[in-house]
Amino acid sequence: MIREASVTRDVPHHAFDAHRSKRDVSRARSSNLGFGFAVSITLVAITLGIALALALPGVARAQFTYADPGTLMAPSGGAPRVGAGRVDRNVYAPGMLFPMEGLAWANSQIYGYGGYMGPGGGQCDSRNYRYPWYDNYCEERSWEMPLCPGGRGHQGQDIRPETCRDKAHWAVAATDGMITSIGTYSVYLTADDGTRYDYLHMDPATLAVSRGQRVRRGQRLGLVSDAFGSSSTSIHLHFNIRKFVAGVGTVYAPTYMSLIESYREHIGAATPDWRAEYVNQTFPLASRPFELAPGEEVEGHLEMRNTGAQPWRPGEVFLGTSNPRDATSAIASAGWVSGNRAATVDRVVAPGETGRFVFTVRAPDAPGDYPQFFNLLRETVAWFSDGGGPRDDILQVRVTVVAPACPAGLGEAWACDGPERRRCVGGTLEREACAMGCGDGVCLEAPRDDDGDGHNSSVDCDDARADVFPGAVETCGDAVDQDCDGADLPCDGDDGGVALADAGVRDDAGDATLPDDARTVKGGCAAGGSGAELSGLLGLLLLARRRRARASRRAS
Amino acid sequence: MRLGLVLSLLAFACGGTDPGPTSAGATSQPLANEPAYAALAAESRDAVDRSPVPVLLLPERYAPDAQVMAGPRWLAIAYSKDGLTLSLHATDVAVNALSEEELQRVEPAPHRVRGVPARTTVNDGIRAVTWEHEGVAYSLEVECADVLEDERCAAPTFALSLADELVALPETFERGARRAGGAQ
Repeated sequence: MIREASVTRDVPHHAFDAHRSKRDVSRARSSNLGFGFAVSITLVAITLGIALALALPGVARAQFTYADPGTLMAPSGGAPRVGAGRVDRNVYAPGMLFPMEGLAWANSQIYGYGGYMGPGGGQCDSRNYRYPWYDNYCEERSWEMPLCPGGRGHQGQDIRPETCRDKAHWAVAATDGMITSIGTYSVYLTADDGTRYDYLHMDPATLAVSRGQRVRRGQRLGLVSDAFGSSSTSIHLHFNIRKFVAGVGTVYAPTYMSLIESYREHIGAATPDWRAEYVNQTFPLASRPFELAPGEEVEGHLEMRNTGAQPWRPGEVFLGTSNPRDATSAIASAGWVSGNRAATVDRVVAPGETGRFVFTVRAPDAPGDYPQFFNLLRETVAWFSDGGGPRDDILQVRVTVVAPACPAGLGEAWACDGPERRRCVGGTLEREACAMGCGDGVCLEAPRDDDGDGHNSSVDCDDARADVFPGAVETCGDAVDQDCDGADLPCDGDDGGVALADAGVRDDAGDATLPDDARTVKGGCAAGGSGAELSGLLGLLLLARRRRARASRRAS
Repeated sequence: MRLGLVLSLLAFACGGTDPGPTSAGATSQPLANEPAYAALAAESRDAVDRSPVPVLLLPERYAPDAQVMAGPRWLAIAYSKDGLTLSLHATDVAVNALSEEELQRVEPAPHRVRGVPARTTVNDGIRAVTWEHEGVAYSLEVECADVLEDERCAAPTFALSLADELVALPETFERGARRAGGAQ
């Protein structure tokens, strides 16, 4: 993932006149006309140039963006491949001058428009002439290169000149030194420290130097062209830095960062306030599988280097969802700052330092692919892509939710498994958590208290009556089990017969009361004719007991 | 003649080294008698004499059209004729750009030239052979006008054999050794 926002607006050709380097202004002093007239013309040109530059302040400066070292363009216009090349931030030629006059566009000759593995079009397609730059050191080639992943790759950097015009833009000496070789399509410049700078594909017929000549930094060497011996290539400068790297020997050193630093100096680019550079991450790269089970959570982090001018502070700089911006993420976990803010920076990060964004991704429940783009932002101030990078479509976590396979014997019918239920549909395991437990493949519902008596249906034997609940006051003989103990309370003297329908009444409060005559317990508190017969029988039983008692006393 | 004898004795007495015990093209001749040296233009011979690093010359057949150049910390030899460009570059200025961990991952050099490990590569059609000898890194590039058909650039064979054929000048190696000893 990674890197650099881009302003995709093309730089118009006239911008060259408005944004000439200091070298170009000094050369404008020369002329083939009469000295006085030439001076006048020159002064007018300089004044106009300065005026235009002032009128369009820092267009080129503000727009200069570049992908991280090691981020290569992809075939057929695919997404840039982060880390596919050599991730090397060393500046192997510190202080060198940018080797070309005017604006420049470093990108791939084979994956760009017009390249044989590009998205079509021609080499002069305007989309080849815009930012961001892309590294092409270690781009796919069969060339042995011990510093490249896999030991092979393109060496040096291909740079398009300001426009697609052949033999119109000068390549210049990156440093003081000597021209030590001129070949069919190569010119070598060797500096005093033994570093060699190679310039390939300049027009051999218009070279401005000769072998053995000492040159000064900034001196014109040749016109950028497409020379390639008996063949030809695209209009570009292939630029090498040849270095003796300890432990490896003389190699074509990674050129990208040296070019970036020198170009920034060349165009006077100011450091944007908010800009970041990818460092590393613990989540798999988007190009690699990151499979999770539904609901699974994984914690990781993303590290970014502060390449802007402002410090990052926790609570101010966030990792937010992008492409589109601020969308609630499907992979957000409960630990996120919000649904569209994965994390804030872990500490105060000064320019040049590296900060970490720690967050947890949660796999959605439904199987599928969930790509999520991120970018940094200074909350309420700016997204980093608007200032210097990275672009909104670079940082990415791509979760693929894979449903676990079905266990043996599980069919399409729901079956309980502890606190959840499961079934297998079409070879995919479906799981559902049951908050209230599971019974016979059905998630139990939460008990309710429909009558509002404070006891839910799990204990209330009649949840439609507020007077019926465990511990309620039992009314005897009313055929209602108020206290839910399993039976109605029999009244006193009850012969144990079946409780009959309550003949009592309810008072104004709705509480049941027994009729006065029911308290005499007439055959189970029932009212009516059968009560009289039972009363008479009870009286006979009492009389019989009295007679036996008197007889017993006479006998003693 | 006396100078030549003295130089020869010095070469043997001081244990002058060639870049590899099995290298072809090593010479024990005094510098002045070495054809590959003698055939150079005067300015090139001066550059050889000033070289801060041990000198390897192109074989004699290239000498009349070759140019030797020397800087404070480097030596360069160039030849360009009939669609063939040769470039030899040597320097003892190294940068420590790789970590120990990365150095351990670097694949060993798969070839050998002049008795030492060597690497080959291609850079936009230009064949290169590189090797080290006693702290000096050498690089020999072969560039062909006929990029697609010239066999000298189509494979590393020519570059490897030419590297073996380079003519070492013992006196310059001794000079380099003395310089290294003085630096210690």
